[in-house]
Amino acid sequence: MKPLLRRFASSPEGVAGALILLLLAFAAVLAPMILPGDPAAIVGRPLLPPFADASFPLGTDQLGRDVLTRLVYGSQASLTVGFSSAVVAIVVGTLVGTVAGLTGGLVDEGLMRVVDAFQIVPGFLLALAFVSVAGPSLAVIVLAIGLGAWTGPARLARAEVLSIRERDYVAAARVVGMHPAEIAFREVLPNALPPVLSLVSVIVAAAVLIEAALSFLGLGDPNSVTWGGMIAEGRNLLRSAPFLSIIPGLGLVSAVVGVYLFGEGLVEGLSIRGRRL
Amino acid sequence: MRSVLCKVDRLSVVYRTKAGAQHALRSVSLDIVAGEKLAVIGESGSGKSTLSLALTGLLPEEALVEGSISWPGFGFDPVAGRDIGIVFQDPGSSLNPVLTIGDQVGEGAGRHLGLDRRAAREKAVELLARVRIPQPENALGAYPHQFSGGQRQRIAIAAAIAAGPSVLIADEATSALDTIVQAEISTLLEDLVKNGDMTLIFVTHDIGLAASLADRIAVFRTAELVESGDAQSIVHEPQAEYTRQLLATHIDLESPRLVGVSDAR
Amino acid sequence: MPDELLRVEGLSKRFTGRGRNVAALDDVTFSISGGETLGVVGPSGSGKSTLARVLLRLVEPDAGRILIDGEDWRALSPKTLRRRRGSIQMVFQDPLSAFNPRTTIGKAIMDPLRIHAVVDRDARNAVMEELLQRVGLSADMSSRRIHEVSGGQRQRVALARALASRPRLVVLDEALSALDVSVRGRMLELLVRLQAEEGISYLFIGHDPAVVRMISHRVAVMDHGRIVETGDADAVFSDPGSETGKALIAAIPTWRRSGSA
Repeated sequence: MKPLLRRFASSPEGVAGALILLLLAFAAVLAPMILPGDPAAIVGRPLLPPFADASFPLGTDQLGRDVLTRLVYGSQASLTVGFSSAVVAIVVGTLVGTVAGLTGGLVDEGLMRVVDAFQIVPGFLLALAFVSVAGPSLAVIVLAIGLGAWTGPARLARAEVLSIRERDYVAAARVVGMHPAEIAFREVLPNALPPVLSLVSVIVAAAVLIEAALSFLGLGDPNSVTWGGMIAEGRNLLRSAPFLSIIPGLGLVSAVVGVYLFGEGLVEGLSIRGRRL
Repeated sequence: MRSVLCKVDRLSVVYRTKAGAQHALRSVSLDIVAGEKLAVIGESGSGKSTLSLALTGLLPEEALVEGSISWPGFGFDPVAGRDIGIVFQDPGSSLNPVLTIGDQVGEGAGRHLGLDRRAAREKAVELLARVRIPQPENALGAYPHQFSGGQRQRIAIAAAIAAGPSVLIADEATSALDTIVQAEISTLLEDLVKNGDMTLIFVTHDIGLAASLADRIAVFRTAELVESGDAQSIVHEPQAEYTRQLLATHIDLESPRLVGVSDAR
Repeated sequence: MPDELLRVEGLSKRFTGRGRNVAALDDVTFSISGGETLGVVGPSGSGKSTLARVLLRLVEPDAGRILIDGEDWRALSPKTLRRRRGSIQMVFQDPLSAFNPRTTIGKAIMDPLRIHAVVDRDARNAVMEELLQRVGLSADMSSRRIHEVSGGQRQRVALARALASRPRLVVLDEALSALDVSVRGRMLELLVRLQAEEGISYLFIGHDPAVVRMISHRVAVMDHGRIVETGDADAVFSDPGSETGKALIAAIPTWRRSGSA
């Protein structure tokens, strides 16, 4: 663990990304403490511009709700959805890819056709269809996005596993008498994982954006504040009060950039460099 | 008196790593005579491969170079591919698996000799025949994986000499091959050098191979040149202790066995 | 009468597909006694490596019997086979790729100790360190990973792992070919010493007849999947009977004696 952290720390992108994400995470977690109050509460005059009034640093929206409070609470939903979907996608994808790669034969063929089927449908449309059928709750949205995103990790994991299977250290593990399950989980999976994890940033970024788009279309969770929802609500006032959409938009951008940079650092930290002879 | 083709003068190559500066070569001075077969011997980390990279100008960018390599035999700075050909240990790295043999062997000729496609193909056939690849016309359209290791190495040699270079560097070119194929490649290299009037620099860890093939031998150890001279002198009357050690640890059919004759127990 | 540890009869393996149809092993028969080293030489493609992999049951042969201490290895169930694997181990040609890059050396050596219950859990660490010392390495190497130690040390680590399960036979598949010449001699001496101390048998596969001769009692010459000659190592190499044997010996570079052209 320690060398991993050390390697991660040596990558400036990784550290920058981690800082951004930590900031966002703090904001999301500490929201109830630093900004007590209901983000849905009407607290002031509507459409107050940012930096005009000290008690509403980022202004108010068309209903008079505090933008800063909504921004911070909104990060909760966006980040949760983003990371949860990524976890779902990577876990499901890696398992399927590993089983396919290790088993081979008909099982492999069958699983890959399933992957093909899911990959044909664009992720956003799949999520859209799912949410329309199952209803717009955060859990459904996480599942919907995960369903669209697991195919990338699945293919990548399978490709890695196919290559690792032929390596001498897997043969050595068989020679030593290791049980196939132990070989799969100790020798193959940990070495197949790093390239798959490099997809994390892409998936989280896409997830955050898909959630925002769903909210924008009104298919988001109506009970929570989300950045996408805020952007949607600000849509009609883009000319007179652009800050209503721009501010949550900036939130999205920083989350995506933070995840991307963190992902770079993660790849740096997870890769084992051989010694130069 | 043979002329000096290349003069290496106090050449140092340093790599900057996280662990500090690492010398791959340390103040190496060596003359290379035109038309000779020079063996560069050393173990891993001796710098022998760095020397061949330095001679061909293939050192990575982050290498710091001091000293000089001059080419009085050329009068200009030789270009890798056209004036110097190089063959590596692993034909897998010299040959591109997705290009046909014809393309790869003909490319050097086409680019450096300015031949058109048809002439380059004919040249490729001629080169493949010279390195004794059977049915060279059919080989043009084949891919590297369809050939054995020894054949791939021969194809790599053909590609290296395609543009008619006057210097051929073989960097551990036979190390990954079995003894029979090794002997064939060695003979091939000898013939090519004789008929093509080329200078051969071959890098190896095998002192036996060096002794049988080379005119002169240069012994390297941890980035330094230990001694150099006529091959037979080095092998029969080594001046340096390290060379004596190398010779002593060399295993051949006369070395005393470590186990006794198999007898009934 | 020397006890027969390994007996191989009529082993055959053919590789087909992708336009290939080659007999990698063709009716191979030989035996190895306890404490004996059988060397195997031959040109590339002669089937030496396939032999190693078939013997270790990494690849299934098309036909033939493999008897270890009289037990038919091919008839074993997967579970029993795993248990028996402790008696035959292998050292691969490239130690760097033969170890999981994420596992420490100590853990890698303790794996066979654990899997074959050689010693109970508390003793494992001590036994692992002892194994490292036996192959001439220091015990503090156990916390490093395979790419963090030098080339010569890596193969010693591989040997330590192979010895952990107290095998009766160790297959060395071109295990010294990638080592520096000066390191090779020391490894050969180590192998011979371990053989004398433990009575281990070796199947020593190599492409350099001179190296194979150093450590082998008997030697088998292979070509195109068949064994074309067997006999005492010195006898075979000083006067080979087979064409392949003759070619292998003739190919060894001869040092021109001073005075000749």
